[in-house]
Amino acid sequence: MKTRNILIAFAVTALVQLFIPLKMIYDSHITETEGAEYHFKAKPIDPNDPFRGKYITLAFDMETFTTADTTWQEGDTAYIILAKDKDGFAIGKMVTREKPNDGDYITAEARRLYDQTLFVNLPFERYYMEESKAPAAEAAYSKYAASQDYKPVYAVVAVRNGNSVLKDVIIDSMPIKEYVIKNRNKKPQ
Amino acid sequence: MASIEKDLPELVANNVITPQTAKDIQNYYTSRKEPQGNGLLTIFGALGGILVGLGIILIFAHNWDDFSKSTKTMLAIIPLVVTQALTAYTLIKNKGGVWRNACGTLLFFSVGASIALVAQIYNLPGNLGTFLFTWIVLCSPLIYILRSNALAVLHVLFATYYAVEEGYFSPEKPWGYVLFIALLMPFYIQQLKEERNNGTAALNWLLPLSGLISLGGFLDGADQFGLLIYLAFAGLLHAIGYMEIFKDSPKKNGFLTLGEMGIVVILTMASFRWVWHDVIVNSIPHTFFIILWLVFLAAAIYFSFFHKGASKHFEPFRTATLVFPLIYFIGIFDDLVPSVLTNILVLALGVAVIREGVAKFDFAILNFGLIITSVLIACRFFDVNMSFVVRGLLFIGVGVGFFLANYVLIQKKKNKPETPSYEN
Repeated sequence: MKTRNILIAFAVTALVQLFIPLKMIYDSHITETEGAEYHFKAKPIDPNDPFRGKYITLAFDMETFTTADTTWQEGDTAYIILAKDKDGFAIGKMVTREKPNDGDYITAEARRLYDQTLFVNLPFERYYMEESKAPAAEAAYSKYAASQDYKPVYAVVAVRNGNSVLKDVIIDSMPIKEYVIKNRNKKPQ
Repeated sequence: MASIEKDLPELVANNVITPQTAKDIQNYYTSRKEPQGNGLLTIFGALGGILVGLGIILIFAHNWDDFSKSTKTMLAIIPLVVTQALTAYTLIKNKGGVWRNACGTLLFFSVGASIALVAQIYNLPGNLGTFLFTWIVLCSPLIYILRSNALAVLHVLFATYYAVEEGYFSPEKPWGYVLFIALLMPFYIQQLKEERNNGTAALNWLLPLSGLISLGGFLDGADQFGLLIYLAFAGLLHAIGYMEIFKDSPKKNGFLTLGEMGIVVILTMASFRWVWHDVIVNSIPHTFFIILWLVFLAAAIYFSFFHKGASKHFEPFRTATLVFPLIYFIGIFDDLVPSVLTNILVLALGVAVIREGVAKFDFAILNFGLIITSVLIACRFFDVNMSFVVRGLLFIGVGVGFFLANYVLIQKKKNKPETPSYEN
């Protein structure tokens, strides 16, 4: 290859290498700032990713749908049309294969179909945290879940055109990062 | 420099240079050697790049709460742009191997750090497999652009990581792995033909090893038929190792060694009778597995007998690769006969290798044959219910056999002092 061709090939590669993270940033940023906000009831647990750091995995209440469609396969794209219940939490109004034309919806992945119940993976089940806080968050949650004055733990998610960005996780009416710090500073009684 | 050499006939044809000058130029490049120590420096440059890159990723993975979202976003992009600029400089200035490999590895990890950090900032979904896939695809053109062996090695390592992650820990088959290996092939073949260096030697071992590891990721649901597929694949590696192109580097030939080891391990596993119980139960595998097996077997036969320069002779490992499928098909109807036949096959293989070792006065081959035989004997202890005394005596017998065989070979060698030594 001539030097000029090599340089052109490199320029194209470099642009694609830049374009992918920038596109990820743009899509997430626009959804976060302009998307509608929904609260999803959730339970956190703590795993680990070798490159992206520690995160808490969220298990959502809204992960099953009753459906008459028996052709769902693992990995199929499932569009979930959203609504809010009387307490303001997100509920899945309907699950469909067709991309909805209007209204707020999220793009999820079908996991399995069992006896007319479709299980889905929501696209925002990872919440990355500072490495010491992720395990602490799980511990704090299990303690909180057993307490008397339990209020639902939920994920704050911005939704726009089927894209969704997980903004925060709220436990006992405060962001989970703050909750961890508050509980860490508390002396054991 | 190969490109200049390629242009020589054209230059001569157009009377730009005389045929003599063309010959002189060719001689100069053939005789020119890399400055001493350059190879080592390249390795350390690449290693430095890997360590620094991994360090950056780990520091980012801590997930700093003190940084605002915009600071983190800048941090995700800046290292990438800086290493891209460094790489562009390397290319424009036509820098040597040390620069190309060090910059390449740094850029490789900058790309990983960048997409990892963005995913972290915006809590983007996607499992580790998808993440690795994006990373490898974004960096694969760099192997060709920078002509970097370090990047080729990283490419194989990460492709294997991807295959293990997607193949062993999720129900999906890691098809991306096939794409990654195919992407690397033109580069690897060119390196084998034109430039033999440490990087090529590393790939000669890494590629077969990576294949042996990753193949399992495709075999979920194949059950015992997987043994047949693995054996055909190991046979293929072995046949590739015998090719003309590897003739001058027997010590650096991972295909041959790993192929032989693969064949021995699979056959030893198949020598247990319980393995054959399941063959009867699951006699008809999925079409995908049958096709996969046929492809590997056909390729192994092609490279063994029909490829240009193939030696065509029936050596022990080649024979075992071809005989085992016949035994397997008997296994569909019965479990005792195939396990007995596999034992005989492994024993014959061991004895054949010992004979070859003795004939060539090669201690490595001799002891490899002895190991095959004694592992087989040791394995039978798990199957057969015999007294500890008998087992003890058998072990002593095998140990004495080791000493004797080596002693005999030493004696034979002493009597033939002119024979070239292969001893390690």
